Amino acid sequence: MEFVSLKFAALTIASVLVFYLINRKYRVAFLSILSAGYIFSLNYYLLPYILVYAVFNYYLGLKLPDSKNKIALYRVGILVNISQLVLLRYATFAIDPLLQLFSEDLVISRISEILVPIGISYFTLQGLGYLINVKMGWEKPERQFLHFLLYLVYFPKFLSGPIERSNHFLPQLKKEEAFNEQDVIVGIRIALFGFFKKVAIANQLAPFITDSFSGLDSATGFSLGLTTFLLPIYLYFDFSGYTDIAIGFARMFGINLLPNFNRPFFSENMTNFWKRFHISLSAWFADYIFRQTVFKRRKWGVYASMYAVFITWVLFGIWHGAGWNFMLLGLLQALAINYEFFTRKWRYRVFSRFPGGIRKWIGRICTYAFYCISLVFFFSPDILTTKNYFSILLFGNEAVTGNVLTITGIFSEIPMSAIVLILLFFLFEFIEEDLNGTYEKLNKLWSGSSRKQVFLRWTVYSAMLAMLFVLGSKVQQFIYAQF
Amino acid sequence: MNKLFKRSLYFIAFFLVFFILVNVAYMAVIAKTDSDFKKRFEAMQFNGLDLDLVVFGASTVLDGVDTEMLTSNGIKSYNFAIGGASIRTNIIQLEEYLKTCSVKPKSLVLGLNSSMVDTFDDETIQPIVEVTMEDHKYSLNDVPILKFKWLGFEFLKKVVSKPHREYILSYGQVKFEKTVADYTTYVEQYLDIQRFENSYWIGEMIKVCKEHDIELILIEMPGYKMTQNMSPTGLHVINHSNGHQAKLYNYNSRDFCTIFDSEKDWIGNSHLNVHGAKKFTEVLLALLSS
Repeated sequence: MEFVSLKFAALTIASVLVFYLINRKYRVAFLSILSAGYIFSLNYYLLPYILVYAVFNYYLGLKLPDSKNKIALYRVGILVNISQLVLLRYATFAIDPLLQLFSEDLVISRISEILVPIGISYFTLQGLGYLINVKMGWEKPERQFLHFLLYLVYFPKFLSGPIERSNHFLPQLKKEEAFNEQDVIVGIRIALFGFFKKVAIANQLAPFITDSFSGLDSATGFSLGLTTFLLPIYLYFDFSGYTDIAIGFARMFGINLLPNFNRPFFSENMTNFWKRFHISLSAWFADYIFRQTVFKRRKWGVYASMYAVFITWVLFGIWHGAGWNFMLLGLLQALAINYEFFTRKWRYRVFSRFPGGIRKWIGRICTYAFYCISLVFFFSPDILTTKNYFSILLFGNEAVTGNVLTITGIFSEIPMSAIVLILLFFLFEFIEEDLNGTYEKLNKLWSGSSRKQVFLRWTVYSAMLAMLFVLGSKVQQFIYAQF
Repeated sequence: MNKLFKRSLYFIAFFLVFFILVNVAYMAVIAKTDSDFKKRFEAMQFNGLDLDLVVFGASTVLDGVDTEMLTSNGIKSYNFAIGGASIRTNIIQLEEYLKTCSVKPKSLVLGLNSSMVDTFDDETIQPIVEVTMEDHKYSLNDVPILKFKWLGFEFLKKVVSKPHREYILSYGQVKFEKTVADYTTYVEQYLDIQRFENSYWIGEMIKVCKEHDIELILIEMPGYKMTQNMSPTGLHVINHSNGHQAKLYNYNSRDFCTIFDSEKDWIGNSHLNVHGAKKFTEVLLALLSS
């Protein structure tokens, strides 16, 4: 069942009803069963695999604090967690080429074809995070298996995060809270905005973006320039829409998930950008890789940070997938962050001459432009495509002659409604970021409880639902493009 | 929980009212401003109007055949063509018309664009015709903002662009003054007669015309240079696979299309503007008169 679908939303709302009707004692069990059912619907074999994975980490967590061989046990835990990730996710890239030196029949990646390791990158980081927390004494081991299982498999976040922290998620399951109307209302609202971002904006941009990469032969420098400019916007609305749906669904059951986005395109440098984009992932890498590496290499002084940045971001890149592209994506981020770190004083001297507003916007534009380039690596299926992409982007496409799309023709491929909505969203983000006074006023106008304010809110929600109905409908549209 | 349940019901009621109002308003605006809707309503009100010639097709015919000129020259005619209409749609329109007229038309011109869009065997019925035809079973898919989504964009074009607003609907033809030059280049291609001979819906149209003793004239509509073919203008005789015959004139041949001025006679994407339509209809008039 598709996560972003009316069917799934309806099923979730029905589950919320059941959730609040049953005894509080059984609510965690209910959510665990629901999540297990969801995973089972994705892949039959995945569920028993995750159960084994959960039992292993749960048991290890329990044993770790009192074990005499704490370090060894911890290392076994980390090794098993990473090995299963490498085996199921990176076998084609990291294991098969090595094995095939010995025999061509050895293809380990076949296991992942059966198991289909959906969500593995997410639940592995959560499992690892839990073990590290317990080993470091930052958190007590979870005694109740169902609570631990739910931490790993909770259905709203299972597929694409946010990546939860056990010390944030697990205490919420212990709360003995009664039904909270506000949780349900706020959850629905967040999910509605998520659906809207995903369906009304990202899905409208998707054909333009995917066609650009799949049809490089017929692309022009200008069309790829436009694609490059749109890549961050597309990814942001797609992913933050998805995250909002996950956060909204989770909230309906009274569980707060970690935030993932915070107006990232208003960041003035890449260091700040990664504190605002895919926050749960970058924070995980910052806490468990960067800080640990810096601590271990603390004798190196400032070079420890530089080294840790490279290690962290290369791993960050690889986490996204098996391929040189992702590694280069991470490496680029590491270069940018190190550059920003080592040129901080120089940049401050140069840019302090500029007025604050201009300085801010120069930073924002440069950050956005850098991320645009980075995303070409993210979206390209392989390094050769990336190379061709940049070649056409910079030098044009000699192969394209004759009936090339004109500039207006290229723009006409991007739906007008998506452009208007993107501008509207960014306008609100700009107000929230830079115009505090106006934001306060708007917020007051929006969130009051007078009849007029409720009417305003309901009208906006109804308009969003109507747009979702039109743009999300799978009814075959009448294909008629008048000139 | 009861409070939330009650609030949800209120919101659902609010949303339904909102949704209905939006659809009604959308429908009112579209029906009032869209040329296809206007002419559909106009054609549906024909009662006992007897025409000598009926013209069918899609948007290129809608813009390109000047039925006012034909009528003023003694051939009482109406342009039934509608944007994006398939041949199946045209058959439905024809049958609707035949039910209302007392004397059947002598001839029927069916304009086609074999090089542009493959509408020959398109099973879809043009949405405007579909929702307004008899026996149509309404469903949630017929909600105006969904069904006529593309007309919303057409409406926006009219709001922002004067040339899009300035059209005249006359005898079913939509007349545009606007000019978009044809800068495309020739491609070596020929008219594929077999496609006409094997098309199911062309066969059905031939059958209906035979049944009502109407002379069917198939015409390949003129288009931009990149769509024009190197075949002769004709007359070509179509020996349809269902055993019937029909006449076909290839007005998209390079030789024929030299009558058009590529700078002045087009409105874009192989559609003739009012000037191009006049030139083309003069040729049609000569053909029909002979």
